[in-house]
Amino acid sequence: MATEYTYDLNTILRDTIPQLPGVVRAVAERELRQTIREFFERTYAWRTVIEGVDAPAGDTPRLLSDANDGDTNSDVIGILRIVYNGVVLSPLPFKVNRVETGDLPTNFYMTSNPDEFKLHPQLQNASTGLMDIHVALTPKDSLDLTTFPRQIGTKFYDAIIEGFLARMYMHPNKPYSQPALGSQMRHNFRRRMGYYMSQAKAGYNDAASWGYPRGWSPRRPGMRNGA
Amino acid sequence: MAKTYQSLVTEAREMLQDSDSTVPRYSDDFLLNILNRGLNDLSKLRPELTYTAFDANSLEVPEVIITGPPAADEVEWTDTWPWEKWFYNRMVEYVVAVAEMTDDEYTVDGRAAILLQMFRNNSIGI
Repeated sequence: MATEYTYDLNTILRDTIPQLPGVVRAVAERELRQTIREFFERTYAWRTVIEGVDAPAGDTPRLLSDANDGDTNSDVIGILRIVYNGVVLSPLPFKVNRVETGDLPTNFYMTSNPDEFKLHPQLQNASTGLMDIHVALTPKDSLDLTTFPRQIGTKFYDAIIEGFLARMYMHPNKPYSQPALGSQMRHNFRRRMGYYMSQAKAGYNDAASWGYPRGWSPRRPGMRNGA
Repeated sequence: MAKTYQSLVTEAREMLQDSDSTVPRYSDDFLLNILNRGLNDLSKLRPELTYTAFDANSLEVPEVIITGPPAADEVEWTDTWPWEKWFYNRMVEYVVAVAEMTDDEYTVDGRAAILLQMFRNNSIGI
């Protein structure tokens, strides 16, 4: 994974703690981590492709845990697209009633967790390295995490600052409590999240995130003739 | 030099004019008891203080003791002060104030009340 964890937590704290007189640093660090997690969880703005993933045989869920999501500092919060041996699998909202087995899956569906899915038809034989999985990530919830992906500094900086200050200003009965300003900043933060969510959907390169329908169903990337 | 609970008691003694260690007016145990009560009061005003300061992220305030080894819910008074320095100043005010309250003969009128008010106001305000 090409993520570079070069953005230091202290950089944002240096820019914001002057606006938080009397703050306890450990609490500020915690709220900042939570802000960053919330931002990515709501926007799906941190995306990557995990390549060459193995697939298990049978009715077995595939879990993208630390061991195989390619990154020990992040958690997968959404599976956006699965390409199996060059073919895009269509997402299903739930498990198909019938049980089918084969070596060429056409669909995938999520199980109980956002980082866990199953293939349909279920594989007869396990495969090695045939899946490319497009995922959305968020930093892991850890007290030890002090560096974050560099896009926080290059692109999302103001949004993170507003979200963080909003959380802090909402604290009750502190020297830095400013609920009215916090509410305004929270509003701004949510607007910015919507803006970046739409940018992420467009792939950050102005690509259209939709296509004209073909045939009787909406076209999805990788489908042929609308089927 | 890093501040410790012990240095906090020493600084409180300076304000109490009780720096002569050969004939102390207040014992270490006496001032440490006040400090422990003060830490509980401080954690009520600023509950976020105990968020990461102690083992296992417990929100409980540990007891400061003079001689170790400390149990799980204790810390030694030679340990480093775990929070920002301005809270250290507040606790000095608290220890001095409560010590003054117990000492009618030498106390300066009103000083204890003023210091306790400072402790509270400065803990939650600028």
